[in-house]
Amino acid sequence: MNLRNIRIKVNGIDYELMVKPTETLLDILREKLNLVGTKKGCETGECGACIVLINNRSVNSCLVLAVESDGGEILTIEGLAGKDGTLHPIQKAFIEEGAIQCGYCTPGMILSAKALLDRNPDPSDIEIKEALVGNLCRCTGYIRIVKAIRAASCELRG
Amino acid sequence: MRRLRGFDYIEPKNLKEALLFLHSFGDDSAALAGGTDLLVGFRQGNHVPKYLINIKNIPELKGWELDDTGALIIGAATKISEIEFNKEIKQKWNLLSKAAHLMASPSLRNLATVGGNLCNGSPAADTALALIALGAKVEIVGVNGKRILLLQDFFIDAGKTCLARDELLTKIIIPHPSSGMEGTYLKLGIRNAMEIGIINVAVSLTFKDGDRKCKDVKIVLGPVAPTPIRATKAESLLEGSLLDEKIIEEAAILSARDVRPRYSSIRASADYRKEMVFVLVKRTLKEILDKLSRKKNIEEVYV
Repeated sequence: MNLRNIRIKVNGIDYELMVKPTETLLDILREKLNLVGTKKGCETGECGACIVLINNRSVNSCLVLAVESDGGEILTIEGLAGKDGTLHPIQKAFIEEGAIQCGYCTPGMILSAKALLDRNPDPSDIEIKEALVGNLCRCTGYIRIVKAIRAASCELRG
Repeated sequence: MRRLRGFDYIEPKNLKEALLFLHSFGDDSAALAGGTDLLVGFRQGNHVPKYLINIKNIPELKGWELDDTGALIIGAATKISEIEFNKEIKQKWNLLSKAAHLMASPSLRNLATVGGNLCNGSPAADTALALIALGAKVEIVGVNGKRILLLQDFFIDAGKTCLARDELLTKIIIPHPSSGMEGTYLKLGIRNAMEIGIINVAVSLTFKDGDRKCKDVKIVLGPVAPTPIRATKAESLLEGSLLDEKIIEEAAILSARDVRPRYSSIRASADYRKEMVFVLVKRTLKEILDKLSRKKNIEEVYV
């Protein structure tokens, strides 16, 4: 099996890495780049805990081979806050609305929300829920998560 | 969950290269599209080939265009989300937009490809049912040349298509929609989303000259058989007839009577599936009837 050289930009920083063909993007984010905010859940694309944005599109990083992400721009949860630590409005809203309990689903939820709001800045509740169908939460019952996204969409629209 | 192991990765530059790899490596290779079924299968114990051949960047499999008959030609590596958000498809082939929107989740739709959805050979595949209802054809290419066939004839058995190991599905061709064509798609699952359907129905009908006489009726059902099927008796009943509540009821009964789903099943019993065929065929046809009535009412107001 041959190691491959890939170049990826993660949270604005360029990296050059040697990866095995069998490593997933999720594996290398957590294990090579120490970005452990993105979580390993089901590894079958069903739970959304591993969701990151590649070129502004949400994807399940457990199903993306590292080699396939060559040349891509990746945003993980660690890249959302400002360089000075200012939280993104979605992160703030999740905290203020109490939408976080154990926190395991939260990075995936927030990035799915970002992907939604980037495309649809004023979503209805149904549209918010549809955007989250691939994100499972075992703690909150989803109500506060939807509320937080609604609040964040207001904040982002000014 | 198991780690992925045992395969090497090849990224061919074009279709010719990809086909040569698939042909030379034979059973030791597999085409990698979105990976949303393939990689999951590996983790669940499926056979892992020595070589995965990434076909997503092959130029011949990408993009979409309209030909001079107004037919839509979609590259097989097109993501489901690209189909979902395509304005042209939403306007002219709305049934396909609807089916794409009901698949999986937004993030999976950004990875999964329409070619992959078809080549998986599932009789429940959302894009398969919608595309059959739209009269789609597929182009298949191998080292020995290309062939084009009706999508309906592409499926042979549960999980099996007529694609040989060293062939690739390259394009999906959807004929220009006739004026007066209406269609819709409904999916039934235990949950509201992230489901492989218990029953999915794609319906397409054409109404000429603003009346309610049905033409080119297509009622496509799955999964009630090893492959997607058409409710042919119901279609014959509707063909040339005026669409009203009475005939919808009859068509729904005929559709349900004709299916023979498997006796036992993980998601639903055979009896339940038959009953749901009746319900969903009725609902899809009623949705089209209601839409026609609303259109007619608007016209009457202005006449």
